[in-house]
Amino acid sequence: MQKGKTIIILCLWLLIWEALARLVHNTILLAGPIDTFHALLSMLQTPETYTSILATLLRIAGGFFLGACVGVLLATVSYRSKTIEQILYPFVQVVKSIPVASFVIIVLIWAGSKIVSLIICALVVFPILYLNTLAGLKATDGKMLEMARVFRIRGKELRRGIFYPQLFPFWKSACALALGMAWKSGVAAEVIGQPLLSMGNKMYRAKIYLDTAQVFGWTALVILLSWLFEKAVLFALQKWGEKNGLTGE
Amino acid sequence: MDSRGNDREENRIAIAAEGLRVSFEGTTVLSDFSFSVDGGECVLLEGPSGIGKTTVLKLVAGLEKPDAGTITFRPQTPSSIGMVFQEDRLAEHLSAVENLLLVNPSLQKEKARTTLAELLPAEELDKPVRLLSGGEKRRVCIVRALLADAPLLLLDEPFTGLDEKNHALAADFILRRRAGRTLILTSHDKTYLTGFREIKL
Repeated sequence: MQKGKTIIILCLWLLIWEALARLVHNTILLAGPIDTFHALLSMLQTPETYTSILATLLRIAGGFFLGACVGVLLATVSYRSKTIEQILYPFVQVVKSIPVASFVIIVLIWAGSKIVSLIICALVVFPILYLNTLAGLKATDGKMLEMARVFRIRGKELRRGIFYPQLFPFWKSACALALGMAWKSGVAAEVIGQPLLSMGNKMYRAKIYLDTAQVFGWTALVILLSWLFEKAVLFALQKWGEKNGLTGE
Repeated sequence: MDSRGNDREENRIAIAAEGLRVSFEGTTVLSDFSFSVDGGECVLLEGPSGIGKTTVLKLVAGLEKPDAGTITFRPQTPSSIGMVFQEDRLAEHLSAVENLLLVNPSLQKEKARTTLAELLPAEELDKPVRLLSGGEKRRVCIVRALLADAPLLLLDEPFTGLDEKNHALAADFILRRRAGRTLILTSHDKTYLTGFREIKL
């Protein structure tokens, strides 16, 4: 019932989009869903499309995992040392607040266009994972930490028994947020930075040739890939949680 | 004997506490309290509620610092302690067996299982602890403390929430599994605690 309703709502919006496109009657200003679909089909017939998708996917996935790993690692260090937390505080705040466009320009100067989206993704993901992991660690039950101290629980037992159940809900919400942000910022970085093999570059070229249908086609692909990537990462996280007994009632 | 069945001299931790004074927010909990425990001895801390029995256990465990006084251990300060806290403090998402392996990773899973089965129904051993009843959780706490590879045992009201039958079983379990280790216990009910020296607070 709910699924049927969703499909009807989706069809309604497609109809509104198509009606608007017909009303505007100018594919440069607004390409309709049918034109977009045709553009998408023709794009999918060129091998370069797939290499661009793969290159973008690798950069964004790489950036996401790099940012997430550094975020979790530095949050752990900050949790253990108040001084390190205080030292990192301004850096995290700056990274969190700087607009993506400024970052892209700086990274382009320092590192060139090839890995710009990887670095931008990492920089966007890092503060989200850092702040959530630190908040999760700080919320750890002090009585459980006392228990661990008395029994001398260490290493992986300490993580599995005390920290993982605490961190799991924080990681789930942080990943859901960071995954969406990673794709948005990553593609934006590619549009500005223009690495040769990338979805952002293809999108920019379509814009130069005033091929709005192709711009919409690439956007649809970005949305689809972002959704699939988010589902895959959250699924893996959920499976990891199940394996460690962190899910269920 | 330690938790793995080896009789070792270092498992007989002797404790000497001198002039302990503890106060919280202006209220004196302990005032010039001294006691000693011989290596391998079983001691029951006695006194009405709120007199400071839990505080004494926390001081011995190093979880609290006294305002004055000292606690010394012989032959050495224990590296770890098998403790039952007032609250259960179990990893609720893990099973009873996994909770035991958490405090003693070198423990064989089968040994953890058979030991737990002395106090708990076998079908409860692999469920997440959060699904167990209060009494069952308490029994997991007791087994956890006794199976930890620790030379000193501190049990704070271990029989809370246990019915008569399980109270008797748990007391017997503690005495059998203590294996010569020094034991300090607090309990309102000393029915099944034989051979304990009483220290009044």
